[in-house]
Amino acid sequence: MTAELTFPLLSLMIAVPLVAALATALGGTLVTRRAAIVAALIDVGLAIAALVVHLADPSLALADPLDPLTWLFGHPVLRLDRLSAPLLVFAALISLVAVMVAPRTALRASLLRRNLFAQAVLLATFATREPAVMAAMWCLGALPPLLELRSAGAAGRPALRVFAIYMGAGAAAFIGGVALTGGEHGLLASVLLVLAVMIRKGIFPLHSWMPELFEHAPLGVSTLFNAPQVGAYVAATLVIPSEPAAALDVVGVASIITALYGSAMALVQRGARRAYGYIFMSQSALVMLGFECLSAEGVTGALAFWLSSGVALAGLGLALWVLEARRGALRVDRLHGGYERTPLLATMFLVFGVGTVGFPGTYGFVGQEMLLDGAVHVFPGLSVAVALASALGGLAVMRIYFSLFTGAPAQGGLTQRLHRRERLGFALLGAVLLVFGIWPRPAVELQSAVAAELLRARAVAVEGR
Amino acid sequence: MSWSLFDALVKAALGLPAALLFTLGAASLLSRPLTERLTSALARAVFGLTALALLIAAGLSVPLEAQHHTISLGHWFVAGATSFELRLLADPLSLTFSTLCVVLIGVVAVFSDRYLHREPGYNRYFVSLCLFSLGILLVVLAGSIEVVFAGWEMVGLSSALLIAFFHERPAPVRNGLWTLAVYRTTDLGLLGAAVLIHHIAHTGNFDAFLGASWPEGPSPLSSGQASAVGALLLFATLGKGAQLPFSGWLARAMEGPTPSSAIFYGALSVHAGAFLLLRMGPVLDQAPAVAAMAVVFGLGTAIHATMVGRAQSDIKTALAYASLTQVGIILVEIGLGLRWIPLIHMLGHASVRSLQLLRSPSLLHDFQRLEVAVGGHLPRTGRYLERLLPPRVRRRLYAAALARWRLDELLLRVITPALGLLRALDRLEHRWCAWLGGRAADGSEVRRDG
Repeated sequence: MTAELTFPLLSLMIAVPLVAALATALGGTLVTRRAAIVAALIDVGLAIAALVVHLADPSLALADPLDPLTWLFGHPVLRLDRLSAPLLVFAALISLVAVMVAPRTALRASLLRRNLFAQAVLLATFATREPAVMAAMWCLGALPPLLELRSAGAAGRPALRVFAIYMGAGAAAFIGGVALTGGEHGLLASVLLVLAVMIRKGIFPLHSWMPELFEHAPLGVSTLFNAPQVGAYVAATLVIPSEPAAALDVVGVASIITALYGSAMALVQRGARRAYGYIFMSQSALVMLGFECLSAEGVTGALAFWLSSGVALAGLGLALWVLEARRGALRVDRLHGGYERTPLLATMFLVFGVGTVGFPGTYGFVGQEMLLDGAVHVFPGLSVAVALASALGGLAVMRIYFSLFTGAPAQGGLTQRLHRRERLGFALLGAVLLVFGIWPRPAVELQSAVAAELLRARAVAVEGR
Repeated sequence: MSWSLFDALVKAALGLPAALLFTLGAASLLSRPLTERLTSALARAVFGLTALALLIAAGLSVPLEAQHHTISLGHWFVAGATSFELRLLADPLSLTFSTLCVVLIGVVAVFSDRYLHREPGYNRYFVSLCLFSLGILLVVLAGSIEVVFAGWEMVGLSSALLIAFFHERPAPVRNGLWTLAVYRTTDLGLLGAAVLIHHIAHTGNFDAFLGASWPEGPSPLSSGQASAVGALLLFATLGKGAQLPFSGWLARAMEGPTPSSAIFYGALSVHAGAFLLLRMGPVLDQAPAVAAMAVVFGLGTAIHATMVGRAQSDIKTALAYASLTQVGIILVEIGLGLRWIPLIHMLGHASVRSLQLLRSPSLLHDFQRLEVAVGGHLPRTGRYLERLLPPRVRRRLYAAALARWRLDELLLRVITPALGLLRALDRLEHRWCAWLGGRAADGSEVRRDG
């Protein structure tokens, strides 16, 4: 008999940011920021508690008495498992750091409330495996960036349209795929689901919205939208367990092309935001590649790289946001100088940058090692492209670092040192990246178990077919 | 008891620089960088103790007959059939070279303390130096190819950061980035070799593909497998060792502070590739074609470097090319199947060259003293060689040497079209997004400048 713990852990986690957003509906920016930090802190605490409870006894089922959709589906919708438990901590942590480091000059109460909404949607996505709920969250999750691009007025309108077209197509494909799954049109459902994941993950050739979004939306919003990699979650829960191997091969090859294309394109960008967008696209595509390997090493590597690249890319994007608030628009085709004014931010940027491309000592190195090991068995020829993508990605990161922080010192410039809140935020992300980089064993063991579960589920589904 | 002491000493040799890196890095990240005096004292203590630990270990290795002693630091992680074991190898090759590394790094750390006194980047320099020392020790003491790769990457990043150390000027930054580009490209060779070895042997541990003891081996790899692995390793060596056609970066690397130039490009980093090939000797024995290629590249580089070095007008660049000449010859020795001679050559060359580079800021003073001592100008050497060539050929060779054989221009000829293609693709991306975003319809402009 399975033991059960009755506690509204997951529904509380989702409700807290929503309550904070509602409670500050009429509040000013500073009040809303304080509420957002408190809400994110509570969520981090709850998510860690959920992870600890789950690790202490993985067979323990969590019954959520406040699960709001049980009446509709006839069964609990929110669930905690090996895959979701660390993801909830990951999502809550990124949300917390995004609000902690948000520069005051870029802050508006409306942006903070949208981030709170995005946080709730993200946590709800990771806390369920119900396809219909995931589809709903998929659509709701796109609202904050859409609203932000709309707030930018005429300047943001082209990017808004690009984003809306891609996200609309992705949502339609996802809803269509979910609706058709299990029926007569199984193949069409598979194609639609794979298409949806490819769009959401910015896989070549369905990627153009991603650099556009990073270029035009506030970096805090676009980072929160992309860094947790919801597309990877949909792939892990809906695509890997049941979709045909041919579809996975297509995604695998497309992911390799994306990784190479993104890292190469980052090298010729002039704007820092767009260059970051391409690096994001390139490195996060490697997660999909690992999933498509369908081997213990590949899938474990994908799960590890998902978290490491998510944390590192979030840190990199937020550092860029913080720097931009101090200096204005940033270009990467000239040297800005100013290392001496922001030495800590430069160091953090470097740590996140090298973490993004899997430098030894960061958790990305661990993920990339396993990913490459998995990929070489499935895509032996193309794995050279993965290595090349990593090499170019590293070069692109260093090019951005050098252009943003080196060069002639600014004469008489005021100090641009980080505030305590910003330092703490970046330290949190950096610590995760480095601690698991040096001592990866517990995280890899957990992710190895998740990979085994996913592969077992797939084996059962394939056998049933 | 003796084995456990031996293991503890080798582990300490890695642990001490790692602890120093952590201490200096954490202090910087907490915005509380250590004072110069404390940093210097810690560096002296750490590198002194590390050198002592390695010397004792080397001494113990004789009665213990540690010809091929592996030390496991445990399984770093396990996933499926892949197990990443942190494994060190203590044998005459690794113990000798690691002792040299730590002694030279210690000397450079002491020298740097004065050389960089009150320099704004003092702390940044020492963090990079510690990252380098940890990286090079991992490469040298590694017992598996993954550990080599981790160390190799650390050496590469610290090298680029130190070349760009004086980052107020654009030239060091540009040169640091260029060097990193060469490193990242050629590091693909090592990464490819690591993946291939895993694919063949299902482990990266040296025992599985290098045989029981260095230098005999023999490698259990087949001739074809050894050729593929060897070719990839040679490619990695060409980049890190600044061999043809990648030699151009070494002169650019002289933009860094002199002590770091001494330790990187006079002593250790530039020899890392040769060390790797030496370690992989049993693989080369199985792959005569790759060994022959090593001879060709080494010989070519030696000829190139000795010619170019003679035409340089600044001492650091001249010494860099002199260094390159010797590394080329070491590669020839390795390719010819020698094992102990290249090791001795590396030890001697690294020591002499780092001394020369450390003395280079005092060159004028040294020359003056010598000239006073001999009572006139110092004689120019090598003229008898020049006289063997007709003046016209001499002029052409001089022009080629002055232009450093236009190696970087040749590389640019490969890179420029690729960048052009990427820019064309970028324009296409912009047009696609502009069309999709209805820019033409409403006349709004897409912001391009980030």
